Formats: sequence, C-alpha cells, structure tokens
Amino acid sequence: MTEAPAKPDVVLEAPATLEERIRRWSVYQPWLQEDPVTYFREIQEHAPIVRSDELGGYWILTRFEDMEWAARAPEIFSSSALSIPAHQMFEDKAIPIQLDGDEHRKWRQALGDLFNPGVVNHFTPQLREATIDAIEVVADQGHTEFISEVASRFPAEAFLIFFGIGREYLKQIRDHKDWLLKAIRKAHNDDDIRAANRPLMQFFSDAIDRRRAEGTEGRRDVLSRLLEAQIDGRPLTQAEMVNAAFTNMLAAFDTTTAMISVVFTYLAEHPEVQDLVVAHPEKIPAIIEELVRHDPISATARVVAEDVERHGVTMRKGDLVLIPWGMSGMDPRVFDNPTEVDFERSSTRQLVFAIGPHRCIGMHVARRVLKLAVEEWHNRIPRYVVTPGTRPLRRYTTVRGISQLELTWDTGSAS
Amino acid sequence: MRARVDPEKCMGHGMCEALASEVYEVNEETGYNEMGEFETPDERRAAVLKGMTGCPEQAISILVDAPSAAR
Repeated sequence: MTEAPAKPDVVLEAPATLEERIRRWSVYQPWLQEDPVTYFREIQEHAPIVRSDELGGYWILTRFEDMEWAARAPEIFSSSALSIPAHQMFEDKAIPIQLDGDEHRKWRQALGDLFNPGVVNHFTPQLREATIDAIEVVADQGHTEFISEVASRFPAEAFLIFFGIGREYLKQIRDHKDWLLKAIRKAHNDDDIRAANRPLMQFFSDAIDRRRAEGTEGRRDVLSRLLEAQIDGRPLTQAEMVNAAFTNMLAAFDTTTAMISVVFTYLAEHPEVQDLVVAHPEKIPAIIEELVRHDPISATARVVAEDVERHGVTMRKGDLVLIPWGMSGMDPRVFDNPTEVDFERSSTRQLVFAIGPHRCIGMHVARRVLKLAVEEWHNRIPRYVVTPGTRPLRRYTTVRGISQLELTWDTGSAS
Repeated sequence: MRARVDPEKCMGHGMCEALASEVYEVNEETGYNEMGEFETPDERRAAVLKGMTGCPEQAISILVDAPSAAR
C-alpha cells in the first residue's frame, strides 16, 4: 500500500528579509525546495541582477531579457563551468555543452544534426512503442509511484533508441545511472566523481564497439553517425564518442523526467485538463509548452570570461553566474499573469531550453517524449488523481521537479 | 493573403502546425516547415496569425500585398 511521502519534521524557515533571502539563495536551501517560484518572483521584481553569498558567491540573472542577452553573448559568459559549485564531471570538458567558441561550434555542427526534427520523426514509431510498453506495465495496477515507475523510464528508453544502443539495455543503463547519482552524492571531490563515472564510461564504450562491429550503414542513430563523423578532418576518438554519449545522458535523463513530472502533476490535479487532452489531442503540444513554462525546471551556470557591466552591476572575469532559464517564464514583462496557466497564450517564445549557441540540443527529442507520454497515457488512463492522503513531493536542486508522485485511477476491472 | 516562413529561422518546433494545421504544414521527413512564401484564403487570417504569434522563433510573417505590380 502506498503511504504519504514523509513530510520533513523540521521546516527550515526562510530568512526574514528580502536582502537576506537573496544573499542566502541557493537551489539547495531547504526553504526553497517546495516553492522556489514565489520567492524568486519577489527577487525578479526587486532587481535584474543580484548576488548570493552561498557556495562561494555568484550572480543571478532574474529576468527574461537578461538571460537571453547572456545566452547570446557566449564570448562573455563561458560554459566552462555549468553548475555552482563548479564540478568537473570528466577529465576532459563535456562535449559539446562545456565547450566555447570555435571548438564548441565545430562540435555543435557535428552533433546538432543528430537530434534534428527529421531524426525525431524517424524514431517516433519506436519511441511510441516504448512509451506504450512503459505505461502498460502499470495500467492494470490502478496506482503507481509515477516518477520512479513511469516518468523516469521514458527518457532512458528514448536515449537507447536514439543512440542505437537497443532497448534491451534499459535495466542496465538505469541501474548504472542510479548508482552514479548515489556515488556522486557521496563524492568528496572531482576525483571521486570520475571514479564513479567509470562503469558508465565502460557501458558506452562497449555500446560503441558493438555498433562498430554490427555496422553503421544507413542507420540514423547517434552512435552510427558519430562513428561515421569527421571532426577537423579526422574520425572521432573512442573517448570523444563516450564523452558525448555520457554528456547527453546526463543532460537528458533528469531534465526530461522533471518535465514529465511537472506536466503530469498539473494534469493529475486538474481533471478538466485531462478532459481537454482527451477531447482535443491536437492541443497537446500547446498544453505541454504552457505547462513547462509555468513550472520552471532548469538552471545552469556560466563563468564570466571578461569584465562586463549591466544594469550598473560589474561582473568580473572568473565570477560565476546562475541563469535560471525556467524562471524566465515567470517574468511579467514577457508573460501576462505569469503564474496563471493559459493554454491560449499567443506567444510560446520561451527560454525553457535556453537560446543561442548552447540551446538544448535534445529539445525536439524531449518535446516528442513528453507528447507521446501524454498521448499514450490518456489513451489508456484518461482519468486519474493524486492518491488521496499523499501529496507530490517537490524539490528544487539543480533540476527542479517532482521526486514522488502517487497516482491512482479506476481500472474498470468490473467489466 | 500571403505569408512567409523564413527557412533560416525555422527550428522545427512544429508549433505552427500544432496551433493551426489548416494553414501550416511541417515536412514529415525533415521536421521543418518548408512552405516558404505561400498564399492562403483571407478567411484563414486568424489561423495564420495564431501560427505566426505562436512561433517561438518568430519565423513567420504576413506579407503586405504590393499596391501594384510596379517594380
């Protein structure tokens, strides 16, 4: 039987003043886990650029316009550090996400086409099958812990399909990934992180070897294309291919799961939107765009590469800057009544996937995963609720989302 | 009325087709809108506008008819 997610006994309260809340802002603060948006909106109104003293100190860009400006100025805002505190996941920089300038450009050109909308259409039938399989595992149960049993499976399936690794490796890659997260949490330094990476490095290297042995001709999956690709007029090294695959997995799994989790949480709490999805499946893309705007997910960091002044604030070379992309959707300068959900909004221009040269390379894949999940779930389970006595467990951290979501539905077993 | 989808700006989000399939079509093979400049009945103005404002890349524009064939 499912139990209510444990509520923390001690709720650490937010600092009393706005100045103090800014100074103490960090995605890890206990008082920000449940609802960072309300606190963030207050800062967004207060100033476009603020400074937190947490985690060694960093700037935060709070508004849409400034986030877009920074995204389009990669010569000022380097991607060499993507998190705060800055971790170096690999010995080499992560391809292509951590690269800058010409080096980034050439890799991005080589990789960008592997995730274009045509490729997404190509793999959609396989992805739909995987989506249906994941849902059918739970459909007859009448209840599920949606995040661990359903949502987190979709991006893993998508990854294995798009990379041509094969769905039979689902359990293996998910076990590796879970183990990695635990190991990273226990890591004391970057050396510990790199040691923890080894099993997955091996997993990817083996997958590349299998693909090379089985042949790549005519295949549109990522590993086949990487094996055939050239960079600087030479083939990619094994280490580079492993790096790119690993980076992609890290960038894709938790973010996509988070997107699915916020969308389904909203749906579970709004039966009228479930009805809308069922009656008007053609509206699903617009519904998804609006729900991922309404629930900020992703934030990444940049490093200031040269001194820059903006809004009277001077950011110095070497300073870290947090860009909470998702929070741009809460900017009232761009979105009327931003806290309200409105599926008829005229503009869907948003920074959920960032913008500029480092815009999410997998955005078309992520959207398709989400669309298929919503379609196929409602084809089988059109009406469901958050299990009475439970509540969605929200978290902020590096990828905002839902850690636990108990859902219940009628299986119609009487028929 | 005439409208134009800028192929340089189109990123393949597919929002135009999702919002107004009576006007916009995304190429199934490539995933991009490849309509370029096109003509559509004036009655579909609302749908054209919906797809235009809904395009995340602002790749769609309505072309104002030239008053004459001069130039």
